[in-house]
Amino acid sequence: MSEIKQVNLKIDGRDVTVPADWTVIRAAHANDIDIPHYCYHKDLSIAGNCRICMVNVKGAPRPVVGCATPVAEGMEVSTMAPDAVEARKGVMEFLLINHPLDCPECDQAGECKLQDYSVDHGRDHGRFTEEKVRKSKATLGPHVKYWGSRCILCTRCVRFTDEVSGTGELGVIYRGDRSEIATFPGRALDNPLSMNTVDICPVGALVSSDFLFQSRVWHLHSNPSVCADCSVGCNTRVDLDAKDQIKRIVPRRNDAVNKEWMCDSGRLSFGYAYSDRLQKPKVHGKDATWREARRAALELLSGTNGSSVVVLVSAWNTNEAMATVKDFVSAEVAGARIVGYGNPTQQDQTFPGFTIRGDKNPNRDGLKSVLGIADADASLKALAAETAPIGTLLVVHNVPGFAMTAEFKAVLDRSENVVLLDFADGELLRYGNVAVALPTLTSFEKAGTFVNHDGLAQEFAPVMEPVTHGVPESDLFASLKQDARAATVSGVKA
Amino acid sequence: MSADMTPQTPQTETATEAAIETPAPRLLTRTVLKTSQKMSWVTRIYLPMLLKGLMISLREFFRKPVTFNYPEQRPKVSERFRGEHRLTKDDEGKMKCVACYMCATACPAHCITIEAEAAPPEWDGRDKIPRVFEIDMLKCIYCGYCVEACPKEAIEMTNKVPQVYQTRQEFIYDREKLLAN
Repeated sequence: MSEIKQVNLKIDGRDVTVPADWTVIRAAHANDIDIPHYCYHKDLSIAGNCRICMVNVKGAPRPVVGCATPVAEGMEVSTMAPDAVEARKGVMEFLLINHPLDCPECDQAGECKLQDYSVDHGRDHGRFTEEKVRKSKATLGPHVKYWGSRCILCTRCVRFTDEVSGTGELGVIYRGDRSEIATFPGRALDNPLSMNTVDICPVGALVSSDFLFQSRVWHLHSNPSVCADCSVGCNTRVDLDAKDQIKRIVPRRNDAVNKEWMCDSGRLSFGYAYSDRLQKPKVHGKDATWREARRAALELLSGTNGSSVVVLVSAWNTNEAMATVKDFVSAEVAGARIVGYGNPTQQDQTFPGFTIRGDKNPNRDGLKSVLGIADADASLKALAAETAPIGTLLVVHNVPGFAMTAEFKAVLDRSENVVLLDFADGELLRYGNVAVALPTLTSFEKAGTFVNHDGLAQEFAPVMEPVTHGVPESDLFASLKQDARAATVSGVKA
Repeated sequence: MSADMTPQTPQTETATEAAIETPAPRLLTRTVLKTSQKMSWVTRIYLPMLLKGLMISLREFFRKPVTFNYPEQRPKVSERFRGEHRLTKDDEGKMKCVACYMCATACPAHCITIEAEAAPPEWDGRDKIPRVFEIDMLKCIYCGYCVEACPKEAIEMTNKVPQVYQTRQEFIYDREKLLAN
């Protein structure tokens, strides 16, 4: 970047210094000066077709578009000059000519740029008395619906499929005021990044089928989080309704990780927080109190000789959980072996502007850095290859949608007793020899740190209250340790 | 300040200043009502007043009562009375409501529950309708903000005086009941 010259210019009377290859709008946004925009997006190419970003440049005969005007030395830009204000007002009126004004029925209402800019830059009433053009409604793909009449033809979605997903399903058909966004014949907007088009659509033309009519956006409250669906660790914003139910997950900008994109799978992966949850501790398949369950777990873990205990830790656990596991093992079951595992790695899905990692575990790097397991899959394979029986197997699981591999089953089959820490009442719990099951929490309900594929540690906080009686691993192991100590003091330790 | 208002001799200078700033408390004297001296013996025996009061009771006894047996008898209200709500229908008999939640957003009593769903495909030009539209008449304060907020004139208030029921559940008016109201 050093070879690019810096230029000095004035925006609204403020001196700013930016690289010479930037445009006026980027220079303004980088300096917290707002210029309205629909078609401009920082991560997409410049189209310059919405014309809302009109600014006055000293010396220019008429207002110019901020998104496509390169900065120049000594340039003087005014965003609030009378001619620029008048131009924006005119653009707003044109954009609303064929707009159906169906805000009551539109999911975008409340986060719609047409609404925002209409208030800020538009007229207070429409003068258009002729009949509006009505356009088609279409289902573009499994997750995206299109409302033609609301569309302002900014082509952000078209550019997204061309430049970021590289799949190019979308195009503009027809001409003039009849122009519409459509998929090419025989194709559907079904790439794994398709729902980003919904986010970048500045109006309500592209809406998510999964969030359709679910809630008005002003009834939602948002909490920041980190996606656990793969090892990218996309920064997310989780939107919840008044009943604390997750309604949608959308990406949060982080240029070091995911820019402003996220995959569809990550957006939709919150169902496991609500279905098939392990509500209460279980001892031999029966509901038990926490005290009973902890005692049963301790008996199995410390009753046997440490060398016959194996601890399986999945790559879905937070750094904090792994650290407490390590701490507990060294204090209470010294000599136990710690083995890592995770969801099997698939092929990376690489797109021109985004990569969905094939490693479907959020914290494989944590296993390496916290527990020193360089290759989790190899460590499980090595364990599975052995034949010596395992006294007690402690599984710190927390993997949603885990498909049990033959190796994993082999380890389970060889274990006399299994102590399972998991948030789900799933296949693993029903597999057989699970003696004690202790409920934990999903990453939506607990705080922690995941280390992504790039070695970047990302901390997250809970977004909602726990929906079960589960507790975070750190609390659980702290209580187990306390119980073990109490048992030693009173002399009942086996 | 005169010396008689601060009867105690100040011990220090600062004490004097404090005494000057806050006036000394007024002496509490027992107020003795000396009205008995003004009253005549007729007043003192209370009998005429008692009879006068009883006359009022007796007169009201024969007048038409101002109360009525609510809820069996209904009060007469004006045409513009803000009573129970109604969901309106368009010319084709379809409900006008598009489940925009504006009424629920405006409601200060949080008595409106809406759940939206997609409109039937044959309803041309309509995307969304309420699957659930409930008003809890016990919570409602009949302010009419929902009517003001509605962009589709889909909810209005009738001049029906709020009904009385035996159970709480009956006070929750669902979509069909509001459409028929």
